[in-house]
Amino acid sequence: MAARVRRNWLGLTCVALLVFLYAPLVIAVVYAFNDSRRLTWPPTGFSLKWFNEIFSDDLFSKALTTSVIAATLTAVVAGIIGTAAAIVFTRRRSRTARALEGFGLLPVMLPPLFIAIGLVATMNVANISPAMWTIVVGHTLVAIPFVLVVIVARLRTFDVELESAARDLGAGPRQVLLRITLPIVAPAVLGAMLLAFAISFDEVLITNFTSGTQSTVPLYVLGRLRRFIDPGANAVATILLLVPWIALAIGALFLRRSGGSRAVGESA
Amino acid sequence: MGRVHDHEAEMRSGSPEADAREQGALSVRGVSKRFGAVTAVDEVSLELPAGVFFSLLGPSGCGKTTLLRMIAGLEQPDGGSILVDGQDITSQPPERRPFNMVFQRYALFPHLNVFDNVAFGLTTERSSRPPKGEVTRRVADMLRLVGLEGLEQRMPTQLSGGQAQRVSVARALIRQPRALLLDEPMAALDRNVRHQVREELLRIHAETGTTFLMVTHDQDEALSISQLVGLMNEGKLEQVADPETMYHRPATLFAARFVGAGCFVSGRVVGRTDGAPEVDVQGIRFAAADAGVAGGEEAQVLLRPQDLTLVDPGSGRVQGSVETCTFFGAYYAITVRTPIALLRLHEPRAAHPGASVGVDWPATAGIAYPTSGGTAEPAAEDNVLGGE
Repeated sequence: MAARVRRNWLGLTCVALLVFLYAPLVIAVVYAFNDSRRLTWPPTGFSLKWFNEIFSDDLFSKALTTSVIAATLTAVVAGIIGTAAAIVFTRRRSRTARALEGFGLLPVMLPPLFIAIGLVATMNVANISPAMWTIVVGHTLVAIPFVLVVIVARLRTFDVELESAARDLGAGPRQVLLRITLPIVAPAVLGAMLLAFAISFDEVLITNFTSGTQSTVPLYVLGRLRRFIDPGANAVATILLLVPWIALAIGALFLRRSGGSRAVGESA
Repeated sequence: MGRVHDHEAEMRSGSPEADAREQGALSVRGVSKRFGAVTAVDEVSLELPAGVFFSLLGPSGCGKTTLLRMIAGLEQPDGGSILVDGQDITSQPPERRPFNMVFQRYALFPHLNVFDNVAFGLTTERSSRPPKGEVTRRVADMLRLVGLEGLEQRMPTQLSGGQAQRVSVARALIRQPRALLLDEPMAALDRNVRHQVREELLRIHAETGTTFLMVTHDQDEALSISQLVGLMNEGKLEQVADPETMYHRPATLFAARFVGAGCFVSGRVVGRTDGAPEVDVQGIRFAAADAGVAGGEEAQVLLRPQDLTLVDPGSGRVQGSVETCTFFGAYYAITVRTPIALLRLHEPRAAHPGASVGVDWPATAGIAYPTSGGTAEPAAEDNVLGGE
């Protein structure tokens, strides 16, 4: 009996936690499809008009374009820098490499506001005006530690003997990298790039400082909410919710096509 | 021993492999390698004739794999030089050396199928990349050689251990190396597959005529498969000999302890008859083969189980009682407690534990080693129980 009671408590706690985590999400999505302008319970009826309104708003289209371009560029830049750095960190065992790895991961612990202020100060000192590339630089700074963690973890389980085998079979260092190492860790690199894309897509704090007159989707929402609480913001939130899912689906499709050979096989 | 020269394979001259037949003589001259304070390989010198099947045998950590990897170019020696057919290759990177390696855990490329794994070595040199048709043909030849026709499209994860090992051999041999380097090729295989792979390797060696250099810690493997065995201990080569010599006349106390079964009795060299040292073991005197002992010196005498025979109590060289008797199919392994040691011997007939027996051995069946020569720890009950 006591065991059952305890189990009930456990279950209850879990349900409470899930409600706490997901209720705001559910409410945002539900009211995105509500046909009333006022957020009153219960919802009055189903409607797509808020999506219609959002997509007919030029400002939103522009913000969405900016966000997609910035996120794509961030994914590419962070992916390239992160992969190169991860290879160096895992292949070189020098003290310098270890220190560099620590510095590479440090931004995770820095307050984004600090990074933002640093960027603004730098831009002022160097007389740089805000542009797409300043947005990408800011996002890349935030995304790189995450990219690094993912790829370094993959490379640490990578069987270095595979590279020895390739060298032994006549491949120079360049060929080993292009034909063995990169193809094998490609799924991890792709995963890390998707992560960078997602981070960039809803980064708001640093973007606020580096984007100038350009607006990204999160900035657009903020601007909208500043004026009035409206269901259009819920519609945008719903769209934002979908973006990582779409990214993950693309990633999964890609992985399946590439044979899905993650870490299996090398250890056999 | 039919394995030394395979005439059938030799007559297949004209095939591309025949060119490799005269090549692959390997010289290792004073090669050393240190890792921090540890000297893994200590001034090792070794001469291997072309086409030989050589095994580098030794306990784990003796430096044999490091030596192999230095020959492959995967480790750089701290000193000494490595030559193939008279040409110094010490400073060449691994991709330039005319050797290929079978890795311990095979190291098959997990993202490539069997065909692409085997073909890899043909596609790495841009200048001499053969046309597609030739690649296909040579991969097919290799897969036939290792008995894996039809598995071209399999991924490495879909192979059994034995199959992965053969792919690894085919992948290494397709470049027609002057020497094939094998790093513990059977360590990751099931016991029953090992036997099959052993025969397979012998056949492939005979068919290609390539120099094979295999690293192993398994003495049965080394003795049964190779024409020449090098025994390594603590970074040094203890002995290089053919398997028969290695077994019957181990050169050092370490070699005697590591290779084959046997028991040791300790005594003192008291004289010489016809050059052979006469050993006194607690009053029992007998002649033994000389492995560098001096008169008056303490000696360890190796007695192989198959040299010892059970005789009636009262006769033979030493008296004792049967302690255990274990059935092994072809023979019974019997241990006899005697005043000089717990002796182990093989007999075709069973003996009753507790029975009083005599133990005899032919003159000079034992081999006497200087006690100071052995660095290895005595291996438990196989060794001296009597003595001081």
